Amino acid sequence: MPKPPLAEFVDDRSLDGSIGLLRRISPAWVDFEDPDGAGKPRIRGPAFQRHTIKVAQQYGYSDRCMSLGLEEGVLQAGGLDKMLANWSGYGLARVTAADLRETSFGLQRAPEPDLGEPWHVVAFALGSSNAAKKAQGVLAARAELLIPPTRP
Amino acid sequence: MSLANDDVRFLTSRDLSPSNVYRGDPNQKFLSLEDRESVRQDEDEWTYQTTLRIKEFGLLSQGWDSYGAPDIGHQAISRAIELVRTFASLPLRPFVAPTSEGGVEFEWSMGEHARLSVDIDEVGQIEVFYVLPDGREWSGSLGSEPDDLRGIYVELLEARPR
Repeated sequence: MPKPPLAEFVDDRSLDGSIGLLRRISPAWVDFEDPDGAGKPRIRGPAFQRHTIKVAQQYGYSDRCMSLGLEEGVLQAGGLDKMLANWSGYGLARVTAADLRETSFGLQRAPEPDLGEPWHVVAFALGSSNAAKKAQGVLAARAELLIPPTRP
Repeated sequence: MSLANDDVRFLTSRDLSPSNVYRGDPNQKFLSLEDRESVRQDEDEWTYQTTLRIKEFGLLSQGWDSYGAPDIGHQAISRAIELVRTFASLPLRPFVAPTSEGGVEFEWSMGEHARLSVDIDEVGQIEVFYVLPDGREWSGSLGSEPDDLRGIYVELLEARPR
């Protein structure tokens, strides 16, 4: 049963710039042939796409947004692996709240205890769709790959 | 290396139109062994591997991205395979990935502020996005872009770290 839509996204300024936010990374979103300076597969822009409006609404959100995990919450829940519990082979990347705000995103806590993700946060675009496309490249370049996905 | 527009044999809207590229079979999800051999015989390794990779996007089921994404549209896969042969002639070939919108994206990225993407949506429509180090950026339907894509590509290549 879909939840009622959120009335409006509100940027939660209590999520200050230094806060870490985690994103699951599909193996299809990294370039295993072009590793970064640390020898890890390079994260590419598609890793930071927003939900389609249809999917966003199914989750109960009023507009397109991107799902992330609050690093502190994930660690308190038992560690980074908790966020990959049902996603064998997927990786985990870290960006900061500042990275997201600098790319025209606002942030809102959106706990999903029923989905096992009490740490869930959504990033919603404050700018144009152009800004969201531009953000993909910036976030991919800035993201730290904490756990690389497994090569298929 | 400096490239002139004439060195880049691709990326006009006309080059990317369906009538000018290889036509794939939109109903075929997998490469048969015969198909694989056929591709391997007349294409280079990048074309072979990339075509195979795109075909495999058809195996992704709903929710594949861990965030509820739809599966990848057959028309997107077909159109992407068409474009692989076009992009194979480029000096720098793109990264290709499935999108959370059920499409396929070709991406050239040179760091935070130099990026070109060719996005194929789930029904095969193409959108282009670029951002360049001088701040120019644009996104929209293929064919309506204000700049010659060959020139954009050359500028992107020149933004590569040396």
